[in-house]
Amino acid sequence: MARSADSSDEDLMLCYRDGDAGAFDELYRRHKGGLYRYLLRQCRDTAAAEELFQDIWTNLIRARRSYTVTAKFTTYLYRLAHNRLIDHYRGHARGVVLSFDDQEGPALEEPSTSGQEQPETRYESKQLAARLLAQLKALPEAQREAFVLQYEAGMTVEEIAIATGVSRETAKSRLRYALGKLRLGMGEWR
Amino acid sequence: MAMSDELRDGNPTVDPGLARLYREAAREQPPAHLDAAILAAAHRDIGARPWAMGSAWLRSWRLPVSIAAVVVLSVSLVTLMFDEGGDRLTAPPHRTPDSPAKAGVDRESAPQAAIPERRETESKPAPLRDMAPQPPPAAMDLPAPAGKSAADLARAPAVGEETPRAAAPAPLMRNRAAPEAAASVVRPAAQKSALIREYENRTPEKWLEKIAELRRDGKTAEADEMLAEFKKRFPEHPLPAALR
Repeated sequence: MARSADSSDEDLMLCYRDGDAGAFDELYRRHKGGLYRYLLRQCRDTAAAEELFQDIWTNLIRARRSYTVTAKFTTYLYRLAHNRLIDHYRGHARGVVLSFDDQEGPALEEPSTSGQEQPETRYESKQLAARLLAQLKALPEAQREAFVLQYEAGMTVEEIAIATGVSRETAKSRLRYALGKLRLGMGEWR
Repeated sequence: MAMSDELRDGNPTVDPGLARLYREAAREQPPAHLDAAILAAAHRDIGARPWAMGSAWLRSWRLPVSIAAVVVLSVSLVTLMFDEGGDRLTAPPHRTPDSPAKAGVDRESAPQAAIPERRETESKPAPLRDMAPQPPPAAMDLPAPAGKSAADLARAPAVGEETPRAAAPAPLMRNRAAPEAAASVVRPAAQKSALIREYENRTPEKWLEKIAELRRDGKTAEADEMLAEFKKRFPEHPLPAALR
């Protein structure tokens, strides 16, 4: 299979399956940042995130010979990541797994009209970013995962549902709650 | 920043404002050593399984390469066999007895000597011919043993000279030109030829005197050779009791 700069992720993975190591290089370049940040957000521990990151890519390498295109590559990759993450939670912090149960937390409020008001004090972009990350960190794992999958991997609700092994409605609900809480937390900015 | 249009339009799962802010915040990248380790593992996995790598390419070339290898091998074998067979066909089926020198020259200038003959004579002594007198062993069309030079071959008559059969008949030797390489070795045979040539026109009595003289001097081989020639030339002449 011929490979070009415009090749899709799935084509690159097929090329790699057939022995094209350069295809893997390109695939890795495209997804290493998103996957790494996904793990960082979910683990909250850099060392664990790095270990999981390496494990997931190693699993992908090992599975290359049996790879067939059944879904988007990102869905496949983050499904591997999600499963590995669940194993990690089970092995290291059982309590965390509970947060993947659909306990939605506080009800999502309607966006406040006051959010449209300009804050008197404007934060620097860096401070806002740090605040967003702090808000994200405070989210339950499942909601945070849904948010990160959407913004890091560019997944749709359906793809998030497949990657995390839940129904579309559950995925959508998680995403809605995550966005609602973040908006509340960033109220002054809005 | 205003509330996103998507949210206002009833799509609560997309918030571009948050997305932009998140992209500004999220810039972490895996450390370089992880990149290197993972890429190395990916390349190693390819390299460790050469048959998996480019398997389609290998599959497409496996058959033509195999056929080419078989053809090359077959042609080589046939060519080799043809060359060997050609040697057998071009080799003369039978040779007349020849002088040692000639035998040496022949083998030097004609390396296509028949292989079967060569093997036969390597394994057993040269057969005696129905000729009188018998030529020396090396002069009886001895095939060249493998790895022996013309000089080695020419040296054979010197050994055969010790036996009565070693004497070569003069007429056969007369018009042969010995090559220089073998000349020194085959000189005894040439001397005998000269002796017989010297007595060619002499009377039978002179022949008998010379033969007796050679015997007295202990030159038995030369005496026997001369006696054999005498019997050929003068078959009716009576022999003295001492020479019978």
